Amino acid sequence: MHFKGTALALLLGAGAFGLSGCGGGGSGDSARVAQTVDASKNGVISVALDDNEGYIHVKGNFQFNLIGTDKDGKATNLNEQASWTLSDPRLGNIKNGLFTASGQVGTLTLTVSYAGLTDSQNVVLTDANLIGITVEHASGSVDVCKNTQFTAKTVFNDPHHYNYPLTWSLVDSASRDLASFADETKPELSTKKSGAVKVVAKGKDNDGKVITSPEYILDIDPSIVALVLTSDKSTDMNQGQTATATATAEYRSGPNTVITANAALRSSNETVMTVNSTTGLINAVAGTRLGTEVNLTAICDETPAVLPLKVFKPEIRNMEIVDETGALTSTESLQVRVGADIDPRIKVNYVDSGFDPEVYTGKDVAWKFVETSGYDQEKITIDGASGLIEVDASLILTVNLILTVEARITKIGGIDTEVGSDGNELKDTIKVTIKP
Amino acid sequence: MCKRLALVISAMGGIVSVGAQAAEENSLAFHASGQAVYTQIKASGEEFSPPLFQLKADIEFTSGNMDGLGLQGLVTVPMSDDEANGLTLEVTQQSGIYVTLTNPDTQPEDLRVSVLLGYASTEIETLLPSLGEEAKHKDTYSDFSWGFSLQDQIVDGKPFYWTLDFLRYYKSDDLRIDGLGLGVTYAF
Repeated sequence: MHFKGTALALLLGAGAFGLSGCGGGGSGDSARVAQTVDASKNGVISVALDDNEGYIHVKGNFQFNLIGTDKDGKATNLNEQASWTLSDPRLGNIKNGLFTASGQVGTLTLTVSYAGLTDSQNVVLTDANLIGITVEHASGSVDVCKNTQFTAKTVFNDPHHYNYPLTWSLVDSASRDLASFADETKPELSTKKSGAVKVVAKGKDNDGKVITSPEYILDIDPSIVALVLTSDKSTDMNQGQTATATATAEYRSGPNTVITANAALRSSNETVMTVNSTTGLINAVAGTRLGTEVNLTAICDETPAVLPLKVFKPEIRNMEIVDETGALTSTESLQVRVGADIDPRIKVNYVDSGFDPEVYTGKDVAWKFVETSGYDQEKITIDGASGLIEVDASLILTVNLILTVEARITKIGGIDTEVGSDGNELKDTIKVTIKP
Repeated sequence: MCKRLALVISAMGGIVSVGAQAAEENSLAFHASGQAVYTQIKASGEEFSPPLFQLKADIEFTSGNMDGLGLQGLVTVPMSDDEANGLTLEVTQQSGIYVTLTNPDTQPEDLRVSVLLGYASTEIETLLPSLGEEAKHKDTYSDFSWGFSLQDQIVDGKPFYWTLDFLRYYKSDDLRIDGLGLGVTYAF
């Protein structure tokens, strides 16, 4: 082995870059330095865990909060910056203060540190049995097409309250016509029509028996007075362009509210434009030179909104005759034998570089032979609309015959067209060799 | 601890062992350097640059099977601390050991480029008086380290070289320690 060569040195150097990715595995509490720097910027001089019972159910989780206070008493949440540790990691894990139980009963000490300041508390993990649930809501009503949050008060066979896994549902089909829970594990209700809905929360006790809350009746108020649809881009869209539509509702009281996800967005013609009814993302799929009209519609509790849009096909820069395969490959000439035919195509290039060249599919194209004599016009023909060239088998040729074919785009979208955006006529010629 | 780091350390040990055996049949060159180091320590979006003075010594094979392979050790002493937002940060100690890889075809008058792979340890002291009793902390950060070194002869025929180094001493999600050194090397 002879250790020579720049290549080997460079190879090992490259290896060094790869190895650099293993940073952070070394010793030293690097988080503490970052926290101390952070403390120097936010002025925190003391930290404390937010008050809590210290009891967590083995099926649940709990969000702890570390609050930092500066010399003026201003509080800052330090959950993401702090270092959280558990005395017994078998009982659960914690990240940014969110403790998730592993399912085991026990007691542990939670310690959280920030810039060398620490706080700790005991945490008891219990398997208390669920015996009752009560659904609660802040006001008992919500404006139609808004989302609203419920809370559940759980009752266990001990005096504590726990975060406990529950599912949320609407009791009957009449309620489900008016609203829905997008995620049944989350207490957020999306509403779309006014009326009264019946909501329940369910959970399983330690024996697997389903405990259901009493029905909670929420009023969805018919308080919408107007609905407006807007786009973050021009309503004249180019084919392939995307934009985001927003549905904003005006209510009898309170501020205007964006309700896009609850406004049942729809496109009047999905071949022209599609819309994601949740995000409001609209996509101009296919348009025309003069623009294809399409309506984006929204509705909330029978209050409609319409946003007229127009999708344009991009402007043609120039055109070129290519062979019948439509492979878009430029060619100097075409060839066809006696008794055969050839169907050349037109390739168009667009002004906008975002649109790739393609075979032209417009109808108003005029094809012809440039020569008006010197060949048998009955046995060599060209279709003026499609460009199909047919050579009759009865044609007698002893040598190649070369003719010139011209194609011209005469109208685009029904409008007479003379020139492309490059200033030249939208026409092209090509030699066609007819072989015996 | 990163498994790849363990491999590097093992490899360094192996190279030293092989090198000792090979020393009898290969020529060796010794270098000593002194250089000022601009250190950049980045944490929580803030950068500190406490200047350091670094002493380095290396031994390198100049012929035979191990030509171009060397071993370098460095120690650093603080020249000053740096301060931002009332936080004073000082590198109180730094040391490292590296395998150096140099193109063996490099002549004394050529620009000499070396790759350094090794292990470094940096002790950082922070002082933030507003934290009261917890104001002062000292922690040592050790991990795989890598870098590059450029050397060029100052005067033809003389064994003195300008040296320009870049070394990454430590990197984690919370902290990054880099150093850019400029100094003079003497070749024995």
